[in-house]
Amino acid sequence: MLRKLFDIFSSLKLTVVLLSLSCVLVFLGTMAQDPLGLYLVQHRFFQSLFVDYVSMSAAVKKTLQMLHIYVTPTTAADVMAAPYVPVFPGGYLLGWALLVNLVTAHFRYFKATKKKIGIALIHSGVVLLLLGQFATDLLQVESHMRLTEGETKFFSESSRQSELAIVDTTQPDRDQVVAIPVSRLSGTFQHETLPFSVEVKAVFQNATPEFVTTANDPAAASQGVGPRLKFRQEPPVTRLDSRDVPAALVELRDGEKSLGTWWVSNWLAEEPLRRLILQQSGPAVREALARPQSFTHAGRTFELAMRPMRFYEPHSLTLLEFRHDKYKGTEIPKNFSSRVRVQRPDTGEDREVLIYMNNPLRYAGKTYYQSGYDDKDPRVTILQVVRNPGWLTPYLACVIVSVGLCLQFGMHLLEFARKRQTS
Amino acid sequence: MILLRFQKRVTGAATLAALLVLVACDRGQVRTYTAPKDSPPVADRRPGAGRAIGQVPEVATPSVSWKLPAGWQELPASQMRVGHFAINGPEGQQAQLTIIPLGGMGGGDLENVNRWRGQVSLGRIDEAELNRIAEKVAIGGAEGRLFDFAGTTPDEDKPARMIAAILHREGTAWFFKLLGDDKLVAEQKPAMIEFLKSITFGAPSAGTAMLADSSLPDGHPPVPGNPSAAAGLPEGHPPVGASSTPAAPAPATPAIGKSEWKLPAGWKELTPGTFQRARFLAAESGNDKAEATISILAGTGGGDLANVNRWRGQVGLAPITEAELNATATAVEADGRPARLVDLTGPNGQQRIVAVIAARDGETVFYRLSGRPELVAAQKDAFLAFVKSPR
Repeated sequence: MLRKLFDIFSSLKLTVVLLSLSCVLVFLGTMAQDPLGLYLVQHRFFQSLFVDYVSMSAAVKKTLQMLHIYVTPTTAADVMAAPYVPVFPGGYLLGWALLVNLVTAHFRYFKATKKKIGIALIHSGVVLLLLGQFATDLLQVESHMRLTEGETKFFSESSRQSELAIVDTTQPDRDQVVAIPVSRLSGTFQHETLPFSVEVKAVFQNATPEFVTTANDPAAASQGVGPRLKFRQEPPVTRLDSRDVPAALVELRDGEKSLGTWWVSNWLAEEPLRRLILQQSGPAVREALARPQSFTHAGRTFELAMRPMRFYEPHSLTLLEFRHDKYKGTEIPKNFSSRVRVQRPDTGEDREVLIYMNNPLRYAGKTYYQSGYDDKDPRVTILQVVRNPGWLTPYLACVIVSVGLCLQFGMHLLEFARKRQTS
Repeated sequence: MILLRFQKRVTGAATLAALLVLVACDRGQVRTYTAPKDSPPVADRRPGAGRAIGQVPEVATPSVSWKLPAGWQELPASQMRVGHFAINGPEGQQAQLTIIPLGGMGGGDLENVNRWRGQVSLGRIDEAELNRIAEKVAIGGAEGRLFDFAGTTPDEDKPARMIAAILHREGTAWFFKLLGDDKLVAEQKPAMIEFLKSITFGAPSAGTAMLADSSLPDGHPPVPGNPSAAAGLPEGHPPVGASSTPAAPAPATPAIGKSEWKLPAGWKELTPGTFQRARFLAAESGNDKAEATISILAGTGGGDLANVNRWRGQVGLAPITEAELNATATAVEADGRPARLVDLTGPNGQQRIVAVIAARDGETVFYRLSGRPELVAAQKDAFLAFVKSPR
């Protein structure tokens, strides 16, 4: 039985089938990117064992459209609403199958001799590349840090994931945070450190704010900004330069007693989004937005916010100066640079670093790249923060494969030259 | 032998994979952690720069104390208001007094007074008229200006009165504003003057902070029962400035879903501004544009008159009364329902707004075509046909 399995997995026919399927997957994934957007495609086609029926139909319909055969396109909302029916192998399945195929074939056909050392190196390089990319896919975390001159932050924020943060601000020096990812918001949530439960009444993956205008239109939320602002559900966005801005309506309860209902949304937490609301608001809304949504219960003070997921570090960055130089007389950026102060309280480390294009700060397993600026506020820098423990693997894999190729071809060349000489 | 080696390798690879999966799994989990407190927002000290709107600057609030007149009830102070009081009349009338300090000139006296006049349905006045109606008043030992005007609440047409006092002191503009029922406010005028006299200014104290931004001239409390004042601008006008999309904290702008409108020929759909349901580029000629927008607001959306007067202000026309609006608005049809049309062209001929207001099932739809008068004129028929067509 094991022998039979070994024969199947090590078959070179399987290699051809897997590589062909990979080509088809890459093609269809690329096609689906237009109707579904990059992130959904990544998730459904490449970071999955199987591609589901509706995603696949989106790709096929797009392909037909390219051939001028018009069919109603499938949208991202259709994909998310439809039941998951697997119809085609996904990236993870093909990747792992190729890896197993490569390893088993190596053992089946490969005889360990000095002459074949080049082949062994090439194979191990490819295996390292596959494993490294899998590790990168699972472990890489990309976030960003938005800093105003003079501001200090111990955390970076996710660009796409949000969380409902319940922050106990009672202590004067530290906050105690319970953070629930938006993807987990449903039903009733309880936590041993919280003296209340959170009942999720509505959660919108993408939402837009609306003013609460009249008494005929009762506010859904009684607390915080609720009497002034509410949120309307919007279809999820698919464009690469867009993103969803989530919102949720939550009620806090202590046993049977309701503590009130709150709207929470990234619209209220992120400065550029707040600015958009404030530009169109009257004083009452401005006043409601001027402070965090907080309340006191059981002698403790809490703040409630839906915000980009935060990643805290033991070190902090303070922006000392942000420069945004342009070529004279134009709007073309010449150079961005952020002079930051890196401080780590537990080790006493304290130093200044200049981050600019192509000169990131690598610190504590993270890389801080100069990535953007705020066109409304020249004091603001945006750093991209990347944690990728597997960042070295592609380089290493390439070196191993190159050495293997050189050895293999070199040895063949030498052999050839020797044979020619002797003949 | 080969098989044995293979088994060992497979076990190794599986262990590695399991480890990777375990490490990666914590992304979607509930997390609890202790975190340092967020550093306070940073004040903008650029010369002449407006603060990031809504951010509370790092400015200590000047504190005040007072002698509370009889019958006044003190309400909790808030971020912008350092004092807030409620006064109830014997027949259920209501009035409120607020004290708000703002940095600099607080947006200018004339602008503030004209805005307040709008809240009691009165038209704008000029600087000369402002100086004429100003009364002198003692505020905490200094001389301030007092304004007293009566009108009606914009939505319910009830008599309303506002008595406001302004004092400029040590780089801060202090606004004391009493607003409410006409009769009650008039009766409370002597008490308010006594109250102003009793004010004593203290040293700045930390805690609450003032919002010192010239673009936010005032933190006025809502006129009781006035939805537009309570909710800010009632209709989602196009966002200010060329780029309304949030600057990238992320590689992204929030996009609002595509609408299913049937567009007139040549119109292009644009990304709607916040509070807009849809936005279209109707015509373009060089740098001049005509844009159409659709906003849907709950209830009356702040009322027809308030909206029309706001649009009138945008093209440079003076506000009108309800009667004048009724006389000038024409009846049209929108989406199969009766609606009102207003056509406004500014005195300098730079800007024209054609707007249709249609009430339907507990909400109000605002259709607006605005831009250069000649472009708007060319698109008016297409716009009206668009408004009329059912969807």
